[in-house]
Amino acid sequence: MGVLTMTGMTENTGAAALEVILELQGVEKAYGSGSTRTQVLDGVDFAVNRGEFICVVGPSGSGKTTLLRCIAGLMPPSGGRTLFEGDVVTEPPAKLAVVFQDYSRSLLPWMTVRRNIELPLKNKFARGERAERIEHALRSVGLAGKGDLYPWQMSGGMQQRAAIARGLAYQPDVLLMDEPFAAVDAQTRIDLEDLVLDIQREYNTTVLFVTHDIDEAVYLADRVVVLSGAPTTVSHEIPVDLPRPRDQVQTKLDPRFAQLRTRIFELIQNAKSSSVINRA
Amino acid sequence: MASVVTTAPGLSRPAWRPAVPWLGLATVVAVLAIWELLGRTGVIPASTLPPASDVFLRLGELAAIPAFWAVVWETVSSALAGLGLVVLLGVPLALAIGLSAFVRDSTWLVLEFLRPIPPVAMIPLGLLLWGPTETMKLTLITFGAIWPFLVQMVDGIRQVDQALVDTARSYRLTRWQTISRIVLPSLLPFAATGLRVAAAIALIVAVVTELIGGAAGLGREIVVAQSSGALPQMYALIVTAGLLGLLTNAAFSAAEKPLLFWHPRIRKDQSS
Repeated sequence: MGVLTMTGMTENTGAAALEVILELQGVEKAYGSGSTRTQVLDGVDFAVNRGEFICVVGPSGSGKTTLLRCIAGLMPPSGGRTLFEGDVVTEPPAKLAVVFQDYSRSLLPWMTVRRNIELPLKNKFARGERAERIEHALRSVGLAGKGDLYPWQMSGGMQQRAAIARGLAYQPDVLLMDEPFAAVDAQTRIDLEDLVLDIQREYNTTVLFVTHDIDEAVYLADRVVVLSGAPTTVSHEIPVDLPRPRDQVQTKLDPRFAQLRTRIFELIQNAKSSSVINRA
Repeated sequence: MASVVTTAPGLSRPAWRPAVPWLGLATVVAVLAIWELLGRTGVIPASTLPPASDVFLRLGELAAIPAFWAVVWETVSSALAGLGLVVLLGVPLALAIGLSAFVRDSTWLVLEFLRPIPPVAMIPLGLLLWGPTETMKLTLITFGAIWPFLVQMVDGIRQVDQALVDTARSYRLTRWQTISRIVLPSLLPFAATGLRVAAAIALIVAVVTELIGGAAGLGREIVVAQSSGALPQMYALIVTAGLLGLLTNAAFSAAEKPLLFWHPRIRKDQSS
């Protein structure tokens, strides 16, 4: 991380620069109908400012993925709405990219990594610019020179880097990440966490990061949105005032890190015990 | 959670691959030797099964006659034309069934009724309608061979990965990009398996319609040879039909490798 500037997001989100880029207003989602109807999201409200790194955590089964699919425009909410740069989301917004949890299924095995990254760019950029963007994105995720490999010739960590590179090259204003590191080993995970922090600063992207890992959420985020158990609402929003750049050793030794993770851990435990599913 | 071992949809084939490839060939040689021995020692009279050498000698002689190749081509060309019709009819039909619940729900009973009817049972009807003609042959080949292709394709459409569809939508790929870059490549392994099975059936139905229905081709020549007591020729023609089947399989294997290089099963074959 050394080569990058020391400008932290806390400075960018100073009072004057606050601009809401993504806003959820009472987002509801229910599956089924009649007696089998299950309310998954029960009025989720929160806002994301431009340049912020937001982590969404919640007990398992709290509809994190459902929420993300609603935000991404992949699924219409049954109530409420999401505003992206002021417009109501009815289809996937052009300035939003998603990195899915399951990298092995979201990359196309019949295309090289370069072609995978290029495919979404075809409708946006001319050929020359595409090539430049792809190389830049590959360098940013540490895959320089690996563009001609097929995804299945790579390790899991490399595949997820490729998926992140695809998101970056698309040059979104908001990057949605759905538990992107849930399927990689611990060491790779640590590397990828630092990678995401680095590229967030380099590209100055807004990141909405869904995870079930509290340590990861506190380590990455400017603010952690804690969801309640199903039916889900936002139970708390916890600002993370840890200094940037974050460091896997120093940040995690900070007493405030321990306090924050304990606080969030307790909130999630409470949410679990009050969840309708667990009471039933 | 992503599993490391990805299951490979489509491309169902026997899981075993021979560890010692020449063993299969050795068995063929052994069977031929026993056949020869039984014939030469008179255990099986030559009026039932002539010795292997007679049959293959006759096959060699036939191979030098252009008329023989014309007969082979009669059979092969109708099987190929039938396969072409299978694809032409099967792809839109599969797309309609796979993509529209209405089409699926309104056709399944008819299709499930037609599917188990052996094409041989349709020969009388075919003869009534068209006589022992190329049309009769083609219709029955198509009718017999379309099912495995259709079933595979519908299955393939159902199994197009939701993660890939989500990716396509969130990156706002156009409809054409989604079809050409995501849906069609996803369907290719299913099409390959469906066509491989369909090709074998097409060949069988071609020979059978010639044999029973009297259309021109290998099957009719087999009947002619049998009724005129030319037993070595009859067996030589049967062997030819068998060789055609082998060739078809080999051709499909050869075509799959460059098209499906990315598929988990083909990848494994190449790395081992």
